[in-house]
This record gives sequence, C-alpha cells and structure tokens, in this order.
Amino acid sequence: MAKIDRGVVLLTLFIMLFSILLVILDESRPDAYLSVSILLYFIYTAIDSTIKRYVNTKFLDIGLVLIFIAIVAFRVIDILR
Amino acid sequence: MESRYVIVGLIIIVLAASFMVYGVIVLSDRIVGVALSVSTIGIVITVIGINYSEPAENMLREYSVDLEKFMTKIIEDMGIIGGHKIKLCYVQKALLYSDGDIPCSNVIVGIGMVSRAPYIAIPVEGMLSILQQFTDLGNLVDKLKKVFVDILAVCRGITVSTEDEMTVVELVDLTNRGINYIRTPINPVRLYLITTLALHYSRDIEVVEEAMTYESYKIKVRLGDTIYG
Repeated sequence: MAKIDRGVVLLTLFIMLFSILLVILDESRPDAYLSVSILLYFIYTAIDSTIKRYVNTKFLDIGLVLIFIAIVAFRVIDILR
Repeated sequence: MESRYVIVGLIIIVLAASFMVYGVIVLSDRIVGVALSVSTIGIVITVIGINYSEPAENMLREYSVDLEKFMTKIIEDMGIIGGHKIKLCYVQKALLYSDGDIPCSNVIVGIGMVSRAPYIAIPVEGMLSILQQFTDLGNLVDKLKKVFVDILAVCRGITVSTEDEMTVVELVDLTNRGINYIRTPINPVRLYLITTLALHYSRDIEVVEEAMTYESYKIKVRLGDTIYG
C-alpha cells in the first residue's frame, strides 16, 4: 500500500472510531462531532507527516481552523448568554 | 493530482450530505453529527486528490525550470532563436536546434558548428527510453493519447493526419498546463511529441511548421527518408 494510502486510511479509521464513541456517549450536538473530527485531523497530521509530505494542505488547514474557531466561539457565546 | 482520491472524496461528500439532509428531516442531531464527521473525511480526501504530487517531482520540476532558462540563453546567445530548424536525430539520440539545414550524421551532442552554421544538440536518450515503456503497443494515435492525454495531461484530444506528404499532429482542447508548457521557448510538449513520433516511425523527424491557438497546438513534421531498424 502506498504511504499516503495508509495515512488516509488511518485518519479515516480514527475519525470514524471517535464518531462512534461520541454516538455511544449519547452526544447530540452536531458541532461536537465536527470539532472532534477537525482536532483529530490536526493531531494525526502532526504525528504522521505522510499526508503533508505529498499534499499542500495550507488552505485546507486554514479553513478547518476557521471552522473550529467559529464552533468554539459559538459555544462560548452560548454559555455566556 | 490523484483523480481516484478526488472521485472517492466527492462520493463521500455526497453521501454525507444525503445523510445530513436525512438527519435534519428526521430531527436526529446524532445523524447530522456523524454526517459532518464523514463530510470532513470527504473534504480532506478530495483536497489530497487535488493537491497530490510526489515530493521528488516538485524538486525535479524546479530543476527543469532552471535548466530550461539556461538552454534558452544558450540558444539566444548562439543566434539560433527565431528562424531556427528543429530536428530529432534518431540514431544520434539528440534534438537538434540549428540555423541551417544540418544532416544528422554530422551532429554530436553539445554545441557545434557545421559549414559555419551553429547548432545545439540536446541529448534525448532518457526521454526515448522512458517513452519506450509507454508506447510499446497500439497505433500512433493511441501512443500519443497515452503520453499527452493520460500521463502529461496537456490536452484532451489528439488528431493525426497527412498534409503534403507530411505528418500533422494536432493537440486539441489544451489544458492550462499544456498552454504554459507550449509557450516556453524550449517547449517540452514539442520535444516529447517529436520524440514519440521518432520512436513510432524509427526515423529522424524535422519540424516544418507549428501553430498554436488558445484551444489547440498543431505541428507539421517531415519524416526522414531512412528507417532505422
């Protein structure tokens, strides 16, 4: 299996595993699933640089960070209200 | 670009979007949440497919850009640019740029002069061997499609015809990559094109005429008289 194939498969497995865990834990907030997926993407690509070695993910990273910031800001505002 | 990743990514995004819509309709936040996770995977895979390139390829591409600047300067300094002749010498395995008509038998790789006509002969041995593995089977159009549509992705269609006893090849529906390559003085598309023709016909190939529009690139070549075994 090519190195990048392995990286993509592992990332997919991690995200699906944690999504299933969230379902088991009865998590009902959709943004929680999205923010966990985004965090897992960054954690995985920080540990295993295979994907970044073959792909320029600059704009994807910026987009995901902005989405994550928006989710967190929305939740913080919700709590403060 | 890795098209299989793009296709898989887009399919995953579409499936995730369908589940998201379903989740909204049945008012299930968990389904929407899982669909969002799956769509994240789909977006990541699609981006990987669009931006994929081998690391060595990036480094070699920069090296070839620097080499091309060097070659262009050499050709300009020798006064060959402008009305120069371009010929691929099959036996000598060299691409010949010259001011006048120089027979291939007098040519050696490098810079030289024959009867006061300067020439520059670029080796194409590597290109011939790499094209050999891609073009072993099929007729000329199949070989050209394999190289220029499937591998180089510089165009989406190819036509081959005969005009005034010369072979005319037209690359139609050029991609942006193809247009950028063809515009350069060395023009690697022309280089690969005449090398592929030389391999197919086992003859020297001389470029007679070229024409480029935004949509297509047309080249007319004369085949050498001798067929090399």
